[in-house]
Amino acid sequence: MDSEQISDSLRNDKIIYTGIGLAVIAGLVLGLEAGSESLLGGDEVEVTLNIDDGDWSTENMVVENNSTVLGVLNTSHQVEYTEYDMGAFVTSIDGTGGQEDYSWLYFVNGESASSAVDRNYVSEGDNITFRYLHSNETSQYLN
Amino acid sequence: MGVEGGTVSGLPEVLENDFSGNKSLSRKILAAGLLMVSGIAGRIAFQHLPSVEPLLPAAIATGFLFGRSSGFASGFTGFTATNFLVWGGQGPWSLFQAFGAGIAGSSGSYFSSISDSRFSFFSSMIAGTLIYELIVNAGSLLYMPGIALVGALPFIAVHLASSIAFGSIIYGFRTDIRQLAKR
Repeated sequence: MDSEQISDSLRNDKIIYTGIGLAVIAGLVLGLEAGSESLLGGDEVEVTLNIDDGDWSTENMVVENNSTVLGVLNTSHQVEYTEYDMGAFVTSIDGTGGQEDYSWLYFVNGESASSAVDRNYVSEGDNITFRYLHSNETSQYLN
Repeated sequence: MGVEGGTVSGLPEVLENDFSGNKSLSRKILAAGLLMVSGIAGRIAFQHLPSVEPLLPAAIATGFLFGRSSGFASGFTGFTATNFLVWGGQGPWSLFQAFGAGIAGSSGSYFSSISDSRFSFFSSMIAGTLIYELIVNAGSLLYMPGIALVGALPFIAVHLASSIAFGSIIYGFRTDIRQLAKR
């Protein structure tokens, strides 16, 4: 092998090994960043919001991670609420509310929520349902 | 202190063996220093990604190319210095990281003494990284007793891939690095 061939071989070595190294590093960087985003929840989450005011409506929404349920509801609905020491209580959604013996209750993944709408933070895949219920029906959910 | 006594100015014998001759010494320090500085810069640049860093492979490669004391000095000094410049800073882990990287760096020379082949080079990367992880994780048990070491396994895997990848880049330039040390 003459000196030119050796020089070519070394140049090829640099290209090949640097290319392999950079490709693996790029894979590690992308993989770890994607992994940490998934572990930390990322910037956005997808949730489902159902409104049951007699008619049932469902919408899938992408909202900022760590949004409150109230924030999610406010994104696409006209909301009125009253603030108490324990947090906000929804009184009206899109004009529905205020009827005697009726109130808005909400459920997250089928479970009656245990904290106020402005103190409950959504997670990826949460299914949130607001139901406008008569006191006869609400009593079974309230402890 | 005399050279014949096995030490130069009180430095261990291994240093004398690696750095014999002033011209050779300065060129070798320059080449090893360039590797270490690149490793330090890379460790700072990649600090937001756990276990992705080029300093350890640089130290192992230094040991592989220039001998065990060079590898030890590179690993020990590099990790001690960068801990002043990265998140987390200095702590009880610094000692284990410095010694772990130093021993890993010096282990590179063992592989080059067997063979100068590609297989030997990348084996030194794998073995050196495992040595470092073993020392650092064993050390963490002393200052964080009860910690579940099984949780470190993914980070060890990432560190291995990182060392092989950065080692690959260094391997591509091995001839230039050696020539720099010999000029």
